[in-house]
Amino acid sequence: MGFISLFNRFLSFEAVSVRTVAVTALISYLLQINAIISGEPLYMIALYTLLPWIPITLYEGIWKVQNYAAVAFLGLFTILQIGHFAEHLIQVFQIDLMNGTVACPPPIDNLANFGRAVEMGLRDALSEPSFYSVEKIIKPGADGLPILGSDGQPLIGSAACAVFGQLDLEIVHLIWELVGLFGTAICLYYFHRNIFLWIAFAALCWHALEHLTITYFYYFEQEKLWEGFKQLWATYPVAGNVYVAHPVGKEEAMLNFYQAGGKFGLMAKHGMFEQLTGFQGMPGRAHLHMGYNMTITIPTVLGFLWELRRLRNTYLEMAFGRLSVKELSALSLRVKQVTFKAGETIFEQGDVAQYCYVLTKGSVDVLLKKGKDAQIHVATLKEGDLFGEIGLLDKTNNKRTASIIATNTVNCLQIDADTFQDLVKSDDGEFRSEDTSEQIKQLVNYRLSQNKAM
Amino acid sequence: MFVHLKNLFIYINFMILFWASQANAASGPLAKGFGADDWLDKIHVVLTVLGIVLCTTAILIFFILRKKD
Repeated sequence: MGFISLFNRFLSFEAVSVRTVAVTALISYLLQINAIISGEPLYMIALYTLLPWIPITLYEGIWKVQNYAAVAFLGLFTILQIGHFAEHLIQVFQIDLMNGTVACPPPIDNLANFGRAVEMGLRDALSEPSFYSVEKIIKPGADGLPILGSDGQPLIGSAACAVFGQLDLEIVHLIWELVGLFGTAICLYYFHRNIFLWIAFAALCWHALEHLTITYFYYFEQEKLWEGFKQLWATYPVAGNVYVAHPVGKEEAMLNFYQAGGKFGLMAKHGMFEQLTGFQGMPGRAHLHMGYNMTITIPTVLGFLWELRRLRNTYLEMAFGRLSVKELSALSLRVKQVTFKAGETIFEQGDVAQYCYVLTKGSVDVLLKKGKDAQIHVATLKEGDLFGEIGLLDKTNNKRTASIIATNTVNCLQIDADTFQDLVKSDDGEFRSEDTSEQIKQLVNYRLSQNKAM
Repeated sequence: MFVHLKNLFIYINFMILFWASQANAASGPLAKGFGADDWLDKIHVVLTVLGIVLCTTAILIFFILRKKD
């Protein structure tokens, strides 16, 4: 139960209000519907759907890292790895289940492809190229012309480059791999006993070898020494802005090392291993790299879930340093994030006490009434400080002994009276921490003596 | 604003046209005559990259394990 609550807590928006999330969801939905009605291809629909979520997700992500430290970093990193893996998985689905053709990045409706389509009478000469990427590809045969099915019609399927196929470039693959490698190393720095992360790290090291080699050939071996062919396409719209690539033959071309076979890398079909050993039967590059990413992503997810058990708020850890990790996790689930504007009175001396607070952002002034109208400044509290605890401890009066004013925009974790009593009692309740009980009592005594001295 | 974003995305597509020898990763057959000898000619590249990866891995492991609990 506790683990599921921690999981839900991590995935929920805490720093962003429900209203902001609802408005974002509405905008996202409207953009998505608009893209669908306008006949946009899948990648544009996905882009419009995701776009409104980027700012609030970034904001929430930064807040999570500030509040939950390294566990939050690992969680966000895991979500990114899942997204990357999903792209690889979608590509394999497109190849195996949607009759897909790998030509990545997908052909674009550019001048050359547009011109060939006009020549073949596939589209109106008065129209213009759109520069959209194609979403469908008619399968080319060895001669570069369409393969015909049993019904005599060309075989058409997906452009098997996942959703954002325009990013299917060697440099993007390499950068993502290196982000994964160094990101996992950073996570391991904080969680070096996590065996799952070590497995992901080992897979990433091997994966780096593949991508660094391929990318080196892509950029630094430009000599064209091998005879080959270049596939030619004609592109035309099939519905709205969805374009199809029609194979129209091959053009003889001299190829560099990458184009001739280096693009298959070390272990994929046609790659170095098959070439050097004569063994045949390795999976194609798309399938192999999906496998690599599975080997990286599954341990990363498991590693995150393992650490999630210890998700705890950094500021609660600062305020209640004597609680155990497990107790801090439990306490993290029982607090609520609240915000106060600059100059706002959080509570006034003499008010009935219902909550105490731990500061997570900004600072507050503690003021004590002297006489009728005068107030004395007692202290300024900063991030990680606890306040409002005296009123909760005084069961007879239950009154605030000082006023608290926000000096700037202030974020706090609100702890209700029951949870606080639970923290104070060392012989009853969920926490039962004698040290914490003692710590709070010492703090209260110190503050009361400070107030008396004023 | 969304029209501009759409144009930007299409512009990115357009820029890919000018990418030096655009990638077609994982697609097509091997070129005529390409084989084991060509890989052996480039084996120094593979070994150099392997060395770089091993060194990087060792340095990262050193920094990871240097941290005390």
